[in-house]
Amino acid sequence: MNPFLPEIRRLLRTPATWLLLILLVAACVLFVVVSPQSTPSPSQSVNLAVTVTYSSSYVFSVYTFDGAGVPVGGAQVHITLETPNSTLPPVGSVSGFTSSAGFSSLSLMVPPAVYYAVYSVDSNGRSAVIGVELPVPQIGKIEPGPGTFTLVQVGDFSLTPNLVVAFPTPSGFALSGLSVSYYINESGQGVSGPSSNLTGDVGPLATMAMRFQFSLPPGASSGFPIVFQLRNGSGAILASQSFDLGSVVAGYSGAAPSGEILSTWIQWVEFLVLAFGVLMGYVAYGRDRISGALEPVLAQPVSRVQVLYARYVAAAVMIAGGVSASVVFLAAWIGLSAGISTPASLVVAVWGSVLWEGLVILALVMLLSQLSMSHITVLGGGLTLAAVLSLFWKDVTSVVGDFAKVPSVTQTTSTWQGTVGLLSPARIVANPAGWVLNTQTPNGGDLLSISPNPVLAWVALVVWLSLPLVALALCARYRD
Amino acid sequence: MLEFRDVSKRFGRSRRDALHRLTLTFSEGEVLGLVGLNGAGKTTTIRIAAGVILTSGGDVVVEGKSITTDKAQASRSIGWVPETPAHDPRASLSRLCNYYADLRGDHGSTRARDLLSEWGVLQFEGRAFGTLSLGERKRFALAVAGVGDPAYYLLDEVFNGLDPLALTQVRNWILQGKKTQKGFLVSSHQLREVQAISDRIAFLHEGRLIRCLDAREIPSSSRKRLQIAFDPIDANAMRILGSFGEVEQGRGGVTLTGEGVDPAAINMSLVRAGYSVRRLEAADPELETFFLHLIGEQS
Repeated sequence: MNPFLPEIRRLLRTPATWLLLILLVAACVLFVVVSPQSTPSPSQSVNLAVTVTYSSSYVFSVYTFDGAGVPVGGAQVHITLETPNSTLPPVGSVSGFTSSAGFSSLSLMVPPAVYYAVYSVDSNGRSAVIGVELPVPQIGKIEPGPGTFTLVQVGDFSLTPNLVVAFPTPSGFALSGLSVSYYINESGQGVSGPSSNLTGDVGPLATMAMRFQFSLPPGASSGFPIVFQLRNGSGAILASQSFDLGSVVAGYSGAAPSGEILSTWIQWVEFLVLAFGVLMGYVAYGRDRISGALEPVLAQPVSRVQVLYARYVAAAVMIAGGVSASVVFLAAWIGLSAGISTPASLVVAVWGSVLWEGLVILALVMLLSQLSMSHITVLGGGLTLAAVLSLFWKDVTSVVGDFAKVPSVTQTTSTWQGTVGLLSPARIVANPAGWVLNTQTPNGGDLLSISPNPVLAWVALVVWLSLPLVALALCARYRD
Repeated sequence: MLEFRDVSKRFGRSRRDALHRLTLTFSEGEVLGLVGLNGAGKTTTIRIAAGVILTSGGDVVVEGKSITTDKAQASRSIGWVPETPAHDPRASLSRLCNYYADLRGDHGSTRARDLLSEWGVLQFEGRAFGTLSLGERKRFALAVAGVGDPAYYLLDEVFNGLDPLALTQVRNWILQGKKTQKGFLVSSHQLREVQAISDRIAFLHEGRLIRCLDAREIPSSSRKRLQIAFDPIDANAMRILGSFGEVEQGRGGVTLTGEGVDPAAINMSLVRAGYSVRRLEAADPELETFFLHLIGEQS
């Protein structure tokens, strides 16, 4: 006798299941409905999407649009760059108005560094504000070479490179006969700039900054390789590093009042589903395991593995039901109330991401129930795990940030559509080629961005996807 | 046939086997009693056969099906009544019964309800299991054990917590079951009950099977104690009884201890002398005497 159907019937007849399901959906609905900012009519909202590039200065490509995706022209956009230290004054700000097509390009000439960018937009009484951290555009590093020279750091890839030569010795270091060369292509040919001699004592700071002036090579309008070499007096290369120089995407952000709410909403749903997974694991398995009520079940003509998997599947069905109801409600709400066009693929992506987290936590709670015979340990441990997953695994936030913020008509679409995270099996299925390497995740939250190594990324993915099976297998092998 | 084949069980990091290489069989139509002190391994034996816990070694084979490798098939022939029945305390009896029937592939049948009626708990079918008394829980467990109409019943301390009426019902049910070729493995501390219903009795001590005997083979002790209540208790009566053994007067009667005391002969002597005998019974059941003797040997 296969116990799957009996277990599903059992859970359906358990009042706690329905209570939890109702609480889950009600909490989700309540959060959206009572939120005043979540219900702007399409024409009442204004949204902002910004792409930041750095090429000798920060260039902000701004696009403003309303809740229906219609461009908003004549909107005033104000951008302020602040240092991470909030006690210091802003390093710069710029304002401008968008064209009738909703676009505007604003630039700020400030040194590249880590900034906190505050974007605001005003249009006929409608406004939106968002803050986002801008990383340093790019930092290059030359690996150790012979001799005592260990580091050449390039802090600026503009057309006037700001080269910093760093040494490990804390005290003064006499330099003589060293030079830094650069070439415009990898083969060392093409346009070569003048060598600058590094001579003298660099002092206790052990760094030396130089600026280089050179012209773009013919045809190199949007990016080209450049090679830096550190040579000694006899011309031998001590260290070398090449970089792709050109237009560098420094950051990205988009903002909308409704978008922010939706993003928060999904974070909320994510945690609710995780908590729901914990409670369903407890109701479906842990509670009976701890109280001994599982024993009469094991005495029936079913194997313990069947019981384990059947209870897992039954609880998973309930979680899928709860997640489906919540996400469908979200999609409908966005479509009907906020008026934002929601691609079906993204609805599926959000659904898959949240559901998978629920299934993972469910298996972990069942394993916890197997190992511990304490109600408090299982529930407390499960909820702690849920909180950890919710706080540190940012993928869902990232996905939903895109989901909520980016309309289907902007030029940034290609960027976020390529973003696939570990928690998003549905997205991987939808776009198997796009997930492996994505270090430019719009919101910086993609787990894969920590590992541009495809092998590690695949390993991490396999671990994440196999976690429920591993937990259940450990559960099945457990002996009293 | 239900066979324990060299079954061992060790819990966690315990240094001692809770059950050590137990080999034992019993058949349909047979009642096998299982006796032993606390911690002897009776409950472990039954829980292993029920498939509730796994063995550390050996196997239990039910009608040729291994409880280890073919659990679903093996358990089909088994009904288990635990010492302390535990079910979802919030679930009603009818819901629980339907669930177990469902697991036995008996979805929607009326058998579960019939069993609730048979064991006198049908009137509680709408009540949550957690609200039942110990006796009611025991009777519910007996009903659940019968859901699949198994060939073998594993009864762990089944007599505990039952009122005299239910006790009689269980005893009769077992004896009736024997006639319909059901097999019973009955563990209990109530040795008198075990002795009354068992065909064979297995003695467990510290996880080991120390003896398994036909109930008729249990030897009688030559030195017996009888408790006798009669009227009037006077010097003549004490003299008559004194000819049979040592007499000790207590509340409501006397205790007679001696070699080969014959209850029938004592009763006849007292009645002939004009005494009214109200009660005459063995102070210790033979099984208990034998069991204690065995334990003493082992120790």
